Amino acid sequence: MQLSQTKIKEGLVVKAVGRLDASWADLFMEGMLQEVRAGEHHLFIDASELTYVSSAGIRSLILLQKELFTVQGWFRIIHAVGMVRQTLALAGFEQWLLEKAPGKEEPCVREAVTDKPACFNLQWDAALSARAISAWNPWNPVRMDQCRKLVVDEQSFALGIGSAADTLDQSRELFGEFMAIQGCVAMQPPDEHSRPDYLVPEKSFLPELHSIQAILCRGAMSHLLRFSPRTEQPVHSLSTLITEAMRVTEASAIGFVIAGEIEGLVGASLLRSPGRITPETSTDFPAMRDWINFCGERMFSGEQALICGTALRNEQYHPQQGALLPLAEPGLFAHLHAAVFPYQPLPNGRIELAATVRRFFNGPPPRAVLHLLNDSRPGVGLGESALLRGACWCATLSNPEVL
Amino acid sequence: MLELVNLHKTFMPGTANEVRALQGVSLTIQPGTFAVLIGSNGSGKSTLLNAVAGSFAPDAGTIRLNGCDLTRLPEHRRAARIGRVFQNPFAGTAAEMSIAENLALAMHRGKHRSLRPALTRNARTQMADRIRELKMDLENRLDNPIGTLSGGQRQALTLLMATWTRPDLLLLDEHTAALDPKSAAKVTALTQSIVQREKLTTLMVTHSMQQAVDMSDRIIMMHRGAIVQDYRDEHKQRIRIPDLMAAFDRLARRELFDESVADLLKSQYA
Ligand SMILES: Nc1ncnc2c1ncn2[C@@H]1O[C@H](COP(=O)(O)OP(=O)(O)O)[C@@H](O)[C@H]1O
Ligand SMILES: [Mg+2]
Repeated sequence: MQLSQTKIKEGLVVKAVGRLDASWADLFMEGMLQEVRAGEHHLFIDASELTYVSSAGIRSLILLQKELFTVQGWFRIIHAVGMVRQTLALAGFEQWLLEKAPGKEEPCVREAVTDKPACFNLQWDAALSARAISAWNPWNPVRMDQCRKLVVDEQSFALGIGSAADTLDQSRELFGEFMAIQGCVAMQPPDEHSRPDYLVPEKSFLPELHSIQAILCRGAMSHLLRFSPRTEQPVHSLSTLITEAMRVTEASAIGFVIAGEIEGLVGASLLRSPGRITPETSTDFPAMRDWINFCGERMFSGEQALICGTALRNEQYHPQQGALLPLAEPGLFAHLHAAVFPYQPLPNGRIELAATVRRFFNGPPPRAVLHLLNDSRPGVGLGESALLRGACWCATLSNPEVL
Repeated sequence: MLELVNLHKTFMPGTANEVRALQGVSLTIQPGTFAVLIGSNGSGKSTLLNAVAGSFAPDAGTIRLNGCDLTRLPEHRRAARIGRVFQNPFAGTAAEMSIAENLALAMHRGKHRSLRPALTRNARTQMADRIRELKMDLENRLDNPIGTLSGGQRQALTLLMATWTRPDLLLLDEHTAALDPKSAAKVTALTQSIVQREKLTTLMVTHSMQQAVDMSDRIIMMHRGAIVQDYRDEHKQRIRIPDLMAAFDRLARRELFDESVADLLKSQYA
C-alpha cells in the first residue's frame, strides 16, 4: 500500500495504490489519521489503483469516518473501479463513492490553507478578573487557616494545588496539582500509585476544591487564536503563544486556555501532599525527590493538552512575591497548568471553549496533570513546553495586581 | 511467614568495586503469599534471595522464617525448609545422576545425608506418579541421566524437587528466563499449580511484568538495593502492566532529578 497526497481547493486527495486488506489496513489508517491531525478534514481517496478491498479495509474506512465525524469532516472515494467499486456498493457503502471527481484536482500549495494564523474576535469588551489564593509558600508548612474553598463555575477557569476531598482535614494528605475549566476539573493525586482523576459537573453537581494555592479567573474570552505548524515556525512555544495572545488582546496581562497537540511538555507534579510538611520536615535535595516529580524529558509528544494560565509582561515583576514565574522570554511571567489527554482531533476554524473542554472530559481520563515550567538550566535544560497546533482562547486581565 | 529486618550487604567493601547490594531491606511475607520481586538489573533481587537462602551471611539485619532466626544458619541447614530454583536449568540438579536418583535426594532433603539413598519400589512408584503430573513424558525415563533432558524438563524437575517435601518457603530466581517461550509457559503453569495446591509462601524474581501481574498476590519493586514499591492487597489487584511501566519510568526520572533540578524548581515552582 502506497499513499500519495495532492492538495486541492476542496480538500486533500490521497491516492491509495495496492490492496486494502488486513495486512495493510493499519498502515492505511495511520496515514489517513496523520492527515486528519494535520487539519485535513475533507479527504478524497483516489482508488484508481486500489485493486482489492476486504472487510478489514472496510472496517478501517468506517473508523476513519467516525474519526472525521467528530470534527465535522468526511471522506469520499473517487475513481473506484472493478472489485473495489463492486464490494463497496454491495456492502452498502455507495454513499462513499463519488462519481464526479472534485474540481480539476488542480494542485495548490499545501500550506496555503494552514499557513494563515487565524484569529477570531469573540466579544470585544470581554475581560477576566483574577483571584489568588496563597496558603502555601513552597516548601514551608501549609497555613491551613488560609486555605479556601473554590468553586469553578461555568464562567471560570482555575489552576493551582488543591483537593476535592470532603473536608479540609481530609484534604491535608491529598493536595495536588489541578486545573479546572468551566466546571471540569483534572487533578493529580499526590502519590505514586494514583492515576490522574477528574470531575465533571452533572445536573446540579458542581465540583468544589479545597485549595492551598490557586489562581481563579472569571469572565468571558475576547479572542480565539488558531495555530498550526508553519514553515517559519514549526512549533509554538508557550512564550510565543502568550506573546501572540497579548498582541491580539492588546493587553500586557492576560488569562487564557489552550487546547492543542503536544510537541513536548516540561513540568513537575507533587508526589506528596504539602499538607504533610511540618516545621521539622526536610524538603531540600535529595529529600525533595520524594516530594515532587520532575519530568526529566520533554513528554507527551503527539497527545493533546488542555492548558490554562495567566501571564503578564512587566520588567519590574518580582516572581518571588507573586504567583507567576519567569518564562523563556525575558520580562514575561506566567503560571500554567496542563492536563494531558489521549489525542483526538479538534475541528478547524472557530470552535467553542465550552464544547472543546467537554469533549476532552467526556473521553478517556487525563494521563497527567502538571505544573509547567521553563527549564532554563544551561546545557541540560529541557526548555519550554510547546505545541504543534491547536486553539487559544484569551482575554485581558482587569486586575493583574492580585498576581 | 518470612521476616526480613533491615538487611545490609556490601560486596567488596572498601575497594573501588564496592557494591552496596542491599541497603536496609525490610520485608514481611505472610504465609501462603505469592510475592514477586521485580527491578532493573543489578538492583539486588538475587542478592536478597541468596541472603535468605544462606549463600552468605548479611553484614547486618535479621532473617526469620516462621519465627525461627536463620540469620547465622549455614545454607545446608536451611535447605530442609527452603526450596530453590535458579535461572540456570543446570544449577539445581546433578547431570550425571538419573532422574530417580535426583528425586531421591530431594525426598530425603534435610532428613539424613547419605548421598545415594536406597530407591525402594514404593519410592519409585511415588516418583512416577508425581512426574506424570508434569505431563512431560518423563515417568518412563526415571533411570535416564538428567543431563539428557531439555532445559524446560530440567526446570520442571528442579521445581518438583524443590517442593517435594513441602518447604516453608519457595525461592524462584528468574527460573523461566533461560527457557524457550513454550517451555517457559509450561514451567510457569506448573509453578502456579504447585504453589496454589500447596499454598506455598513464595518469593519469585522475574523480568516478566506479565508474570508479575498474573501470578502474584504482591509485587515488590527493588532499585539500588532497596525496596521502592510494594503493591499488595487491593492495590495489587488493580495493578496492570502499564502501571508497572509507569513505576519504572518514575524511577528513571528520579535518577535525572539532580541538584540542578532542585535549583530549577526553587525558581520555577511556587
Ligand atoms: N558475589 C558478588 N560479588 C560481587 N558483586 C556482586 C556479587 N553478587 C552480586 N553482586 C553485585 O551486586 C549487585 C546486585 O546484584 P544482583 O542481586 O545479582 O542483582 P539482580 O538480581 O537484581 O539483577 C550488582 O551490582 C552485582 O554486580
Ligand atoms: Mg538476578
